[in-house]
Amino acid sequence: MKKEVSLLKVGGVSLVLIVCLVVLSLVTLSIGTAEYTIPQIVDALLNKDDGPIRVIVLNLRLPRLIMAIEVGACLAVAGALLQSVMRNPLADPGIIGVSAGAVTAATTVLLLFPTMISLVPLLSFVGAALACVLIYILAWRDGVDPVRIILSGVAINTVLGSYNSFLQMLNADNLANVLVFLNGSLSGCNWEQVYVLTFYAGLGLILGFCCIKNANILQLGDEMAKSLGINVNWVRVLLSGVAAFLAASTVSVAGMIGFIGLVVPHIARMMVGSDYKALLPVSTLLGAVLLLAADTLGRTLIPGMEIPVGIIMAATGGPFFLYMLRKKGKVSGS
Amino acid sequence: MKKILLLLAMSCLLLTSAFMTGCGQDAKESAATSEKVVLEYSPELAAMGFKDPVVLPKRPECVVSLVHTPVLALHEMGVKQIIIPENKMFAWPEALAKEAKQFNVSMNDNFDIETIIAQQPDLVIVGYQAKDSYGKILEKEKIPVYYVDAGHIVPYSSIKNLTENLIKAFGKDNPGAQAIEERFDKLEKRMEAKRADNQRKRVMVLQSGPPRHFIQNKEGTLGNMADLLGYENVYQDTKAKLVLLDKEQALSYNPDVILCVGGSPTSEGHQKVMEEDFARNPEYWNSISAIRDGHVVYLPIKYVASAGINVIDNINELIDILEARNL
Repeated sequence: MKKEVSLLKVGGVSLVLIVCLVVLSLVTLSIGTAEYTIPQIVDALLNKDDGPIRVIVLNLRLPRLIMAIEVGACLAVAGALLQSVMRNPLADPGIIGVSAGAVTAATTVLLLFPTMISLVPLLSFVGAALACVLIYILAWRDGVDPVRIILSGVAINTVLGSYNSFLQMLNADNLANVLVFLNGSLSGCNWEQVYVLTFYAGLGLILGFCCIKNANILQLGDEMAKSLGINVNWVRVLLSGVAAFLAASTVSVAGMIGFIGLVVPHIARMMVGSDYKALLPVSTLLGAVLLLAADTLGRTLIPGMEIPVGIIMAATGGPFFLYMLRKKGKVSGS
Repeated sequence: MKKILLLLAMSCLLLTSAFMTGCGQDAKESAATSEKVVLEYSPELAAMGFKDPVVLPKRPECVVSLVHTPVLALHEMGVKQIIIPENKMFAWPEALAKEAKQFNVSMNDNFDIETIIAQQPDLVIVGYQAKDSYGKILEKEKIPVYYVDAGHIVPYSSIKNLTENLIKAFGKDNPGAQAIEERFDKLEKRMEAKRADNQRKRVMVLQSGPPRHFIQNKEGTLGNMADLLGYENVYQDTKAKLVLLDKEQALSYNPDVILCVGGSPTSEGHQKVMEEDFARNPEYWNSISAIRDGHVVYLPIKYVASAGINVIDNINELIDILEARNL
């Protein structure tokens, strides 16, 4: 049953998340292996000092912070939309082949065409999109059925996964970059990547928010949705397309980061319920907060070494997922 | 009378044959003893429990090498290898590539064991990592197995020790073995001179696939070479030979020289890729004086992983580059 959106509750949760995001952003800017105090950072920024403080804060931490926020938001929204399309709590961007397609393209370039490494983001995006299209074509039979999408996704993921494994086996001497892509990392991001992702993330998030009404209707079931005049198949394709776009944008720059798309919508449901008018904005903020926290932890946990954010997310998302399984009745928020 | 004479003649013939066979056998046994080949283990392998040398009754004529490290040394000493591992870092010598089949031996534990056994080799050389898997299978088939240090990062000292053991086993009166020894001697002299010159200049060793960069310590493939040349590695942590570069900490390293290796087959290709990445964040990269001042040496993929005595050529080339650029 659809719950009424409690504006007060949603507003409160959103405000808390925004405050968390702001505080976390300030913390992220101020901590790192190069230890500077906040007054030092503020001084360096205000006085336009050319020293290392300004370089580190403006050219390393700030673009990385923005990237983490955008990637987290995009993945969370993509996961939320897909869970509506599939009506399956286990749906996440990986199911529709986005991750597998991106990894296939990236692995091929990194191992076989290393001089074309600058094209990895573009080709990853194309690979992600193609894999997603292939899955939907294979799943189409007089319409799109969520179960067929999932099964096609599993099959395509398996095939692409075997190709990736085979390629890695043939080129075992030179796997460092591939492993980082597979684990998902925001290391090395620069302002150029931030500008590109901001464009795609902005576009994708706007499209995602435009899908709120349809996402809510899909939750009512196919028959009810049809009776409300919705072309269920095309709405599914549309929502999936937006989710794929969001996920492909992030995977192409950050690699495979798991669990955000799966876990964040469920946490958001526990906070504000299943209505997408509340769920989507809260998922956006929550995804941003969680990924920023995970990335900050990954780069500061072991001095001198960075742990890819994908590993941190897997280590923390897994236990939460088990917790959700224990609390089975509350998973969907009803 | 005739019968007795015939019997005597046959006896003499038989006795003579027996005598000749015995001599032949003794001769063979003497030859076999003198042909015996003893493959000892280097200190690195001895420390892992490989103590008993591998003794072969004669010089092998059918060797299978499933690791890169001994291949070139055996080839230069004229030891016939029928199977060698595929090489993605550089090309094997033409003669070797023609006479030997090349197997993909990824991660040192994915062999086509059936084909190997079917070839009935006199000797199989594998990485020590395969001791409990393929090593056991081959030993069960009574195929002599010699274990060596293997993997992407085999340090110079390990390569040298292995080569010395191979020379002891196969290199008697062998011009190829003498040539290898001379090359090692010349290299050691050059390295000693370079060490005296460098006086602990600081080096940062990067393995890069932009936008991601990894840093090697002195035990990495290229890091080990830099260490042998007397450079002090800025990354002192010994927990891992290769880790993702912490860019904030990198600003505090202040290296005099940066050695940067990547996936390109040529150094020019890698330089192009790196300079494109530097151009995306110039404020950051120019904060590292070695990059700002152009004290960066770009190296091709053959410096990523070890492949035996080609390390001599690699280090020599590296010294040439460093000396030419006065770094």
